[in-house]
Amino acid sequence: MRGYHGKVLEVDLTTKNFKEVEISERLLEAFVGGCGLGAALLYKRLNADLDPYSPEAPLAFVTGAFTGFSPFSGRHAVCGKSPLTGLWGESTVGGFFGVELKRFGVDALIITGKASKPTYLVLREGKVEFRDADHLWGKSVSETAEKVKEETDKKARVMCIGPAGERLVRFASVMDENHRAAGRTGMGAVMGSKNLKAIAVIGQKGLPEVADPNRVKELYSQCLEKINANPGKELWHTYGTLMYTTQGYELGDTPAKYFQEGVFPAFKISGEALIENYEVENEGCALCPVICGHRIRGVKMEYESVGSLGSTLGIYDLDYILDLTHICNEMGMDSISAGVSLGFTMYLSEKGVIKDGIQWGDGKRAIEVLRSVAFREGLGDLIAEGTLRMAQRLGIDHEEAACVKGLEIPMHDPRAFSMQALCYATGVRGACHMRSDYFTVDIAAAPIPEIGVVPTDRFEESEEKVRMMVNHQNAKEVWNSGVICMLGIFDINDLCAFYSAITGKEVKPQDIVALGEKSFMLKRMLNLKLGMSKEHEKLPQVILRPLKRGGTGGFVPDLQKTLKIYYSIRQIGEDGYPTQDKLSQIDIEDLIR
Amino acid sequence: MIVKAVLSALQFRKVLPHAERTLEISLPDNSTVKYVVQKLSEKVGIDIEELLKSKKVVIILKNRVLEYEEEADHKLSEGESLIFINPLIGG
Repeated sequence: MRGYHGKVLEVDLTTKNFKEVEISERLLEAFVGGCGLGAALLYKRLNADLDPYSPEAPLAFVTGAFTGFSPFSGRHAVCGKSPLTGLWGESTVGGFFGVELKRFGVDALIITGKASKPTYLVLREGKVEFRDADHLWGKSVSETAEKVKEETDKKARVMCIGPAGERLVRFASVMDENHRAAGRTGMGAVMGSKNLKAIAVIGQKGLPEVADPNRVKELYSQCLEKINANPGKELWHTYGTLMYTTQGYELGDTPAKYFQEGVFPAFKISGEALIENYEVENEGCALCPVICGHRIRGVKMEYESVGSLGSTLGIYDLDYILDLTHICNEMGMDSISAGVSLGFTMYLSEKGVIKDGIQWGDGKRAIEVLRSVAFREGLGDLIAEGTLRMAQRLGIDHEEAACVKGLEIPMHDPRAFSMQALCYATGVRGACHMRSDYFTVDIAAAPIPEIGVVPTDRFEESEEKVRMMVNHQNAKEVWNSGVICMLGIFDINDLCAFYSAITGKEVKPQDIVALGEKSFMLKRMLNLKLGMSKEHEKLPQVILRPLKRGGTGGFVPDLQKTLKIYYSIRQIGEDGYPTQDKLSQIDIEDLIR
Repeated sequence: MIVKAVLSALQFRKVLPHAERTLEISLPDNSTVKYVVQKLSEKVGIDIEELLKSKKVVIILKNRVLEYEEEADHKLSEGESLIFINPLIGG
């Protein structure tokens, strides 16, 4: 199929063997790439008994149909079994590695086995070198990436882990050389369990052929014109994703004090405050015409980090937040799970459950403890397990852990948007704001009217609203498979036009929904196989208490109601499985046998 | 009657310090959204209607995005809040 090499590179760290294996047309056509293709490639290798830290556990880096061809396609997916949730783990990440991996001549890289000692891989000229990484073990992300480039090629693109991945912190990330993070679900710990410190890729083969190169070129130019005319471009470039902080606050979307407060000094941690008080360097990913990345005194900063390491902890001093983010970036930890787990620690410290813990707003102590998380020292060893296991170990009701299926809730409060709550409950990787980011629909940031997804009352819980959410959840699977940035300018018409020109397969917006549904259902089947049940599809009580003050207006989502509608629309039975009719209709039966 | 306007969109940064972007406005009964927008425009010196028509800014009223072109004549009630935001994603 055009747009792909049709190959996966399989690397066994135990035997130091590697080989290229063909990917069937069937999979490429059905799953677009990225997270969807990753699930299809790994489906039969994952089961409930598999220890995600065992040598047999696979770790996949997967590009998509769009990678290297369209604007916003400088992303790839990192997938496997999550050590944090025990379920399907996936994370997409920006930067340059994905495009370079595709230029190397494969669509995906699957790593199994375990190196006998710290190792890094060099992918160059169709070959894989297994290099000693003893001297890199314990090094930060920046130090590792710099050294690997120095030892291989300045043009190499590097993904690596920091000390947190080495020590199997359950929310360790796989980091890009410029601190873009494949953060969620702990893929960095899987990499660490394999004694794999880094991967460097030098792509010399080039990108695969596309069906209509002239059309791709034409679409690219048109897309750039559209992006340049979009007022969001300048705002994102100037303020970064932090531009959302004050807006999120007004709507009650930005959480504070472990989701227990609705009123706080949001402006102090806003994009405006940042650019007024610091010098900002802009930084973008491959093929990005917006360049939203912000680096402040060396620290890559995003809205999610400001929320999780700032307001969630009652910290409103940007200097502390920068320092905390720096630790996550350099030690290789997901800032969302790290922040929420620190917030849980503060919450339990206030209740007297944790002695010598951390008090709300104590940035200095938070820095000290977060560092200890990366090295699993003292209190840090407990926090490194994530909120659900923390609750289990401390004998606390798991309803107090702000997570869904073990994945910590991100910085979009489910009490601010009814459908975001439903997304968290049913998300393929747990509480995830990117699968789907439904809040963007109800603020008119990224509705998809072509598939009937339009802004309505943000608290509405009607059947029609749930139907929109299902369509949105399906469609966003394709963004995450493409792998396309979700910033919002690249719309479903762009998606269809580029997909058709790249692959030669004509698609319309409704086909995108159908493609996404295959991906969603395959991952659901995979999660059921790994032990998920409908009982896991809920929000914890800690996040279902009405906030007396702030932008949520005291709203609490009625998940019992919306889930019932959701299962009916998705044709999911009492046992949590899609009906046979649904499986036949979406044509994935052969893949799940 | 009194309504609240929260000028959260970044276009207001240049004309008002953050602390002054939440306003309580005294209006005649049955005032429309359009009337509030005109009053606010005069106060802050920005053509807010243009921002709304070009969708650079949207108003959230009663928990939903107000379609300005169609609902400018919507009559406001005592105590309602209009939140002016940029329709943009953030992380």
